[in-house]
Amino acid sequence: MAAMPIVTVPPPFQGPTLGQGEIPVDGTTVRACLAAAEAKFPGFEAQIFESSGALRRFVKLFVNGEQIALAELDTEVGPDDEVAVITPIAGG
Amino acid sequence: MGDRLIRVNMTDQSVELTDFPADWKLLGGRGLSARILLEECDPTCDPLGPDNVLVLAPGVLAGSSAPTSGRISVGTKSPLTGGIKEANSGGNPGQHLNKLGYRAIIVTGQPSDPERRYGLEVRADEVKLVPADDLKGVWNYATCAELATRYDKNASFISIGPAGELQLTGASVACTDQDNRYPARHAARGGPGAVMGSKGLKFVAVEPGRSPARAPARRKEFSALVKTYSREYLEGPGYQTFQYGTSAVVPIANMLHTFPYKNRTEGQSPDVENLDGKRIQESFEERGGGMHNCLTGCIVRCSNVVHDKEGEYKTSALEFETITLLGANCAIQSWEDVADLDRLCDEVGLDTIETGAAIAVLMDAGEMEFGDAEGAKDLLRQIADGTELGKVVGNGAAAVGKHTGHHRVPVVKGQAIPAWDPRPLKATGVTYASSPMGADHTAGLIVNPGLQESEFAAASQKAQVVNAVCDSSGFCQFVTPTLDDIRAFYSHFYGEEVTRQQIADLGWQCLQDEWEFNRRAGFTDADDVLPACMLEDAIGPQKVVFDVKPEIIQAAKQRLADTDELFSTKASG
Ligand code: SF4
Repeated sequence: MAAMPIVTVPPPFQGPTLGQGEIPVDGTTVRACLAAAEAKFPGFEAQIFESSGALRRFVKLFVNGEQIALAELDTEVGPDDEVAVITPIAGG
Repeated sequence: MGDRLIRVNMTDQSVELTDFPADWKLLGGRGLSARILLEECDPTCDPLGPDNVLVLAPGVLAGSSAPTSGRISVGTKSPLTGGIKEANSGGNPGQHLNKLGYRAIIVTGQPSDPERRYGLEVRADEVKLVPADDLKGVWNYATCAELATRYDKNASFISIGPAGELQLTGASVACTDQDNRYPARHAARGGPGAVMGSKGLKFVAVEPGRSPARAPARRKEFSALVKTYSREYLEGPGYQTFQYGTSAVVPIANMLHTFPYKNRTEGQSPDVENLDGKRIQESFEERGGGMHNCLTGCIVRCSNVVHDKEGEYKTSALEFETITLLGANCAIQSWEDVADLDRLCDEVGLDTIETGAAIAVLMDAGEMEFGDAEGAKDLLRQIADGTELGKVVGNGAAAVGKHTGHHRVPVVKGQAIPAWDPRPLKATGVTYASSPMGADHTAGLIVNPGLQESEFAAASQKAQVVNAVCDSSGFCQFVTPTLDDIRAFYSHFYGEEVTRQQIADLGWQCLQDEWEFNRRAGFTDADDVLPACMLEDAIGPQKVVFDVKPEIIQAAKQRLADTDELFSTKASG
């Protein structure tokens, strides 16, 4: 199979992805990759964005380990790149 | 001098120091407590009678320079669950005891006069009991303020409040934190404070004197490991997770429907904005307070110090679990009210989870209005005063259920379910059902709502083994060590290789000792269940209930083959 960008999903957000932590997607920007993940697993994006489109306060996005801001959602990604969604989870 | 055990017999008030068995050297904290209880405590005993044993055991690495590793386990037969219990606390007593070479304090017996109170003084050259009748009924903060005038300025204290003295089964054991020496850190779950109270032991004062950090066998390698481990932690995602404390997780938990509202009838709270830890962070600028480390040598500093509107100290730490159980679950709307309730729980010496769950059951039963913050504060004062209703609430959620006859009582083995809800988080539910501890998120929390049924048993078992080792090591779960991390520290500390097999066996042995204690106490597989309300009351948009089959819960108790993943899984709590 041809290489595809991967969206990595932290365990707390794997409800909609049915436990899948890495989603290969078709997309050339961060925005397109996340939308492709949403198309495969409805409900995924609602964990990342507010209904206004803003990034939820407790979510961070990284491309190949570099954090990106909401304004950088159109950052280009290639077939070997990783878009990582990170959220802090602390217990009690 | 080698390591020692402090044995205290409260029946004749004698104290004996014995050698710490050489073959126990890798045992500390929870694992050590489990071993002592299995060997020395009759599992069928009355938990509040003379035959119960109270163990105060620092983790293996406490007192060393390993980062965030000075925690202490308080173990006993729980008066709440009737089974074995380990509750874990920060603060400095664990660091100090191990620096002095005291690997555990083992308290047995009971004074013939239940009105007497005693304190245990621990120093390098002497350990003795002293009368403490003047502190009878005194709240924790005043107790520790008084002790601060009697002992060295670097002494640390372990104490109980009125709830422990009244032997209420929701009572905690308080440990003083490292800077202000406030009794703000608690070994809270399962009622260990009631056992300490039943023994007439009001406090333990530990004077470390000038004792140095415990020296590792391979000094150079150990300090190199301390440096790399600390750097990697502080540069990694773990630090971002905990730097504002556990209260920062409120909005995520709410989104995942694990921020229980009104006695867990819903998984989200409409008051999430007011209860969000962000509000606490915002208060720091104007009022003071901020983040600190509860014990010397902690690099995480997850503990928030909360001030009131006048800028005066109110409480510490205001945790996610407390905000959930005493806040959202009681429909109490403001974090400031929860801060008041948290301070009262610390003062009276109560588990905030158990007490919040108990108040919510009372509210759900119609005996109090949901959201009545002032009423809840009054109830906590009533617990200290020992009124009839106060005693019922101080005995926890199951006691309130019995008293009111209410049907919705979210407990497992008699212990209230923590914030993390077993309906969206079913693997965590498997932990609650199968853990020897009853419903306890620190026994093996798995925040992954996407796991499939076939994965629950293995995920729960892995988390339970890793957390058992972590709680035996002295490391705080929030520094998220793996089994490989812990064995590397042990290897350099003792100067001999600790293998993967050995470290996995240590965790498994701890769990087996605990399950065996419970079996002898009369528990069977039939007790490994969640309450009816978790099976029947659906929450969230998908209307989820806990519907995991009993064989999956039992499978979590059958040892699976060790995988590479077991050794790289981070402790979580
Ligand atoms: S991480 Fe938090 S709870 Fe753990 S030792 Fe440090 S301050 Fe205490």
